[in-house]
Amino acid sequence: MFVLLAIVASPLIASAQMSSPNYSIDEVFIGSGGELEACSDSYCTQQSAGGTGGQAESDGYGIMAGFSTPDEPTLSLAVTNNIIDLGLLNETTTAAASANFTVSNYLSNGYIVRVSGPPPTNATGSGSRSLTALSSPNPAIPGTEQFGINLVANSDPGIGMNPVQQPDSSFAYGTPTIAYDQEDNFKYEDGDIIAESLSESGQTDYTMSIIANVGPTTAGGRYRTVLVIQAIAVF
Amino acid sequence: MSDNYAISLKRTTALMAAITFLSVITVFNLSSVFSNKVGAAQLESRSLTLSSTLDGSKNVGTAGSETNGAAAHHTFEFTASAGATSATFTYCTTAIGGCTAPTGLVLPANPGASSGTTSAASNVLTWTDTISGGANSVTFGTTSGITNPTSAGSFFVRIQTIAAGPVNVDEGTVASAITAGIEITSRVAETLGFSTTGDFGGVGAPGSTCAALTGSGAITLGDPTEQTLSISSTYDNYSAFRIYTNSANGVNIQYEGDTLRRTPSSVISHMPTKAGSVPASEQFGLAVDSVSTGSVSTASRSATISFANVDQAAALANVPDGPLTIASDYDTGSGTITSGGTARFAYVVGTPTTIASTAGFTNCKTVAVRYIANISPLTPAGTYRTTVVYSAVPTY
Repeated sequence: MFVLLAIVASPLIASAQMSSPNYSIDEVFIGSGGELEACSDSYCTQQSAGGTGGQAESDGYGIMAGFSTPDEPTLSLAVTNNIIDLGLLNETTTAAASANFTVSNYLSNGYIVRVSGPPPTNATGSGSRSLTALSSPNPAIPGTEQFGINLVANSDPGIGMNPVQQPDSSFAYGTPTIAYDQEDNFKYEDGDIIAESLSESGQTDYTMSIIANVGPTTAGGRYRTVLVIQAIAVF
Repeated sequence: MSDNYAISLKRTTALMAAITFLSVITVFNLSSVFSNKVGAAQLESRSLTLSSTLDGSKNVGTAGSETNGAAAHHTFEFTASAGATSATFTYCTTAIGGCTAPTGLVLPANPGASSGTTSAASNVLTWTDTISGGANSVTFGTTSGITNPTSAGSFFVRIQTIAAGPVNVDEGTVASAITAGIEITSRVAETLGFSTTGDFGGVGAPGSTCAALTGSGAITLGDPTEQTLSISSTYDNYSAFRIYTNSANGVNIQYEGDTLRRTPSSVISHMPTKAGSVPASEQFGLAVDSVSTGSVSTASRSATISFANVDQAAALANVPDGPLTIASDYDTGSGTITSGGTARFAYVVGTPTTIASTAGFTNCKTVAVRYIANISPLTPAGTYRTTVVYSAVPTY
């Protein structure tokens, strides 16, 4: 249990989050303005008034410091542009499209993003056939049956964007994992971790680039799949 | 410095002392408060993983699969203190404060767990098991799946471990998010390439496109000079067909046609059952010749036929490419056609008959079909003709 007291000498006293006998005090703010160094017997802090100051952490300690820092852990994941039609696949051109998702989390030790679901599958007759998923990062090759994704900008095909940190990289830290961060190389494996942040992070906007190719023996018919995205935060 | 400021400094000093004193007291008080919440430690390294993040209205696939949000498994991991024998998991829309159950969430009365026992009421799931001091992992919904919230967005689960007493031990909150899946659709055009020829000069290399066969389909059976059949020896000849398809459920290659006919009532008898060549008896039949050599001689042609671009037996059975299976009555076209010879032939009149088939796709197969004809001393003289029509019927 850790109790933080932020105390500033001031003509004014302002009480912030207080407690009843049965709840803990996470943060206390008294006064306004700033102090270069305010100390108790065992703790010293440098403080300033204003917006959220930022994050500091060591192996066993972390703190969000500033004028006003929320005390409620959060995890948010939103998928947009999620209806993808790759159209009529042919042996001469790579089919490509993109989907988007955003992740942010607060008061955690980071997050991972996992994708699950089969490659596009044609269920017909007594069996089903899925497009061959790329088991390791590889380029898109027309005429060879493939299915893969990545989370970066590509030139071949021209699809996708690098992750965008909101409002900038000093507040958000989400990144694609190694297998999904290579330009013009695609991979897909059900259950793979495709993105992560090693610490709590503001909002990262990801663009998922999706490619598919077929070969001369790719079974004719309609193919479909639903890829499920999950963000798992460790608090 | 103003009077007010000077005064406030003095007050501040006293204030600081008072606050420090109060802080010490508060620390101890909080310790005593947390002992029931007292001394309650925070669960460390805690997380929640859902088998599906789709909302509870999505009921596709088996329970616990990624596409089934109506019957999901929820896996909790956390590091706890030793001594607890049960835990509660309270599903809320917020991490702290008053708890409102997420809309659409349904916890079955007995959801089942990967260990211990569980029960649920409203938005609270109770787990009874010995909770290790250290890392713990438990999955709920293994007996009766949990229905995820039906609205996209985040939800929280407040965990409280409990020792006998009951005494609260550790607590912590985890979060997860319901979201739409990425739905991908596409279409692959059905393909079929099928061609025939009697001109083996038109049996070129298939190439990457499985190029169609070209040339005339007309062949003769008989002496190459006078084109006459004989009662003392069997004449044979060849045609070829080439097939490719991406039909998921295979393709049947069929033939249909009359036997050799001179007049409406004068025919050379066909071979209704699989049999060898018998010179001096009326026979007309065909079979697939899966030769192992690159060329073949036929008495009906003055020159050898190149089989360089015809798939041999092994290639016909090439599994990665999609095997082409020859129907049993037509799979012994190779061999001798003398009396008692090894080759076997058959021919059915009046109905489409399958000569070869695939179970699924086939990339490109080129097949040679061998025909024989024999006559008897009583076979009337004249010109006998027939047209054998081949067709490919894929099932997608």
